[in-house]
Amino acid sequence: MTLTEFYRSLGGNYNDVLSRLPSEKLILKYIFRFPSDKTLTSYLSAVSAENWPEAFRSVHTLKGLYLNLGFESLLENTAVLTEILRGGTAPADRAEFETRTARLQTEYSSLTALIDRLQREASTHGD
Amino acid sequence: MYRAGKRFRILIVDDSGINRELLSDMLSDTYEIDEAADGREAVSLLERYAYDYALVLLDIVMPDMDGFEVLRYMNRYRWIEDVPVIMISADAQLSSIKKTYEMGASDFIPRPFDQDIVRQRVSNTIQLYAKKRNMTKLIAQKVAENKKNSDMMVSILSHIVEFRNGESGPHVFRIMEYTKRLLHLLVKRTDKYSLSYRDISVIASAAALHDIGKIVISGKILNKPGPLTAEEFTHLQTHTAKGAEMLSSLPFAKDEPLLKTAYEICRWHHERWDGGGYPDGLVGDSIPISAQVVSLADVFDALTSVRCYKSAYPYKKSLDMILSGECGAFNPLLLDCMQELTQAVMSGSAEPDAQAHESFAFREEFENYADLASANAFLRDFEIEQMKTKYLFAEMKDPAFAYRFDPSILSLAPATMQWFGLPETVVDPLDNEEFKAHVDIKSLVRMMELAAVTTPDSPGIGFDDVLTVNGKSWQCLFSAKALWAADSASVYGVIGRIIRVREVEA
Repeated sequence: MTLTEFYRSLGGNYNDVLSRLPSEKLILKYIFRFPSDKTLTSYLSAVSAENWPEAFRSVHTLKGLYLNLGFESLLENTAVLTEILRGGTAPADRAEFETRTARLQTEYSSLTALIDRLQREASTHGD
Repeated sequence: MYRAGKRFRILIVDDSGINRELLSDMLSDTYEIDEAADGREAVSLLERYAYDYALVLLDIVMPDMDGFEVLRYMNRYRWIEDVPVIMISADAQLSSIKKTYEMGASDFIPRPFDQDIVRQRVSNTIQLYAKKRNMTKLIAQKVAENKKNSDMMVSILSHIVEFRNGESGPHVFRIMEYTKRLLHLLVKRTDKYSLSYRDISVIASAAALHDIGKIVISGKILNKPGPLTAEEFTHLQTHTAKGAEMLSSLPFAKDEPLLKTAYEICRWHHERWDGGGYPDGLVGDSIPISAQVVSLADVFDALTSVRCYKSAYPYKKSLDMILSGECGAFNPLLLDCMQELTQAVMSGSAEPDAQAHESFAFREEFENYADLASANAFLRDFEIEQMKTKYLFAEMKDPAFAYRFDPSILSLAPATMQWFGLPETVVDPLDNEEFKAHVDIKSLVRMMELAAVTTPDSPGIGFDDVLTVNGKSWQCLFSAKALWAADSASVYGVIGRIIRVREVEA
């Protein structure tokens, strides 16, 4: 899997990302750092503790990360969740919120699976 | 100062590690980079190294202390005047951006980050501020030079006058010094006269000119050892109005505070609080405060010095003569100040206090250039203080600490860091969950309470307390000193050490 293919599966465009960020090597570094990033874990524990200000901050950070790394197709959901939680109070429409949060997890899992594949194939190339 | 070698230093503040890395990678080939993971860490770094930074890149949404809060700190301590801030945030909400601009942020970088934009904005902002800093330095130098020259000119002029009067040169310096100290004591008692440090400095300089009118008085009268005839005395009295006239007829600088004040002092320094003075017979506070103070300083110095018609009286006797009304009628508030001043002069504490006031005056001078670099003067004091603390700490084997109330920052000596298991600097210890998880804060609270009731002359604090650190309790002896501000108006912190006597049951 090439970076172009990776980005295409995420609804993005690798050339756009490369024009913004320093180099291919560094882009790979950020992507591979992503699975060990704790932002989603923080979000989920904040949600289960009903710590809404913290939940807002985490999903907001996640939105920023997706935006910076150019993961286009994941943006919409984080943006909506950020707005639902803005103000740091409990979500008004609980059902919508639960659905969105579930989707956030699913999307995150597919993302990490994709990164995993990219990493495996990158290391195979390296051999 | 704010360059590491030849490279500018930048502080990146963002709670996301990947975001910090992204920015750092974009900038690290050109700049030295420091990173902070939240607002508190940022404030702690700024507190220590503020002017080492050429720029701060600041995220808005962060846990605990957010970007707005960091900006508030930067405004409160005026770091923002010298350290530019560029906001970085996924939050492209217009209201947030507007708010950061209002709080002094220089620019805004939206996400997604674009290397070229980030680099260009960072470089533009740094260059702009570097120019501003150079200008500021230049102006500060010029201001200091001008002040030095004008003080020298005033001294030369007043010496010529005093020389002719047959009075000693130090008379002028003593009048200036007494005037300044009386005014500082006065502002501690009342804000009725709304005197700033700058006003005080101007009045003290102008005081040197109080007798310039004597230049037109005949030398025979000035230096006559015996009593004056009524006619001679009337002639001598004209030195007040004459001096004022000379100043008001100057074709330049009519609106200068120094000139206006010198006019008041020349004309009215022989008026009396009860209206019995000359030349205008003004009563009470219709006499400008500048003239009232110089009048008292002049009388005090005349009494305590040798003159052609008398020997010097001791300080105590001179004070008694003034208080009993033998030597004129004065503002009762000023008489209170005079008592305190006499005591201070007798105990010889005149000099250090005067120097402290001097540094305030200098600071205030800078504040007049607020849009340039008023923070520099503040920081200089602050840096010196920190150097002293660092030096002391390095020497101490006991667990030592220094706590500054505002900004609320606790500095720990190496032995204390080890004991507490905490870093060198703790921001907001009374309100900091991490700190409270390690250390029971009740002893710190008690120390602040005790510091508040100390005096500048007796700043010592000592008490026993049980201190619990990381679950272990110790019977401790706290030995500290309240840090009083140079103007003796307030306590700004404490410094001390903790002696562990024995471990006790929690």
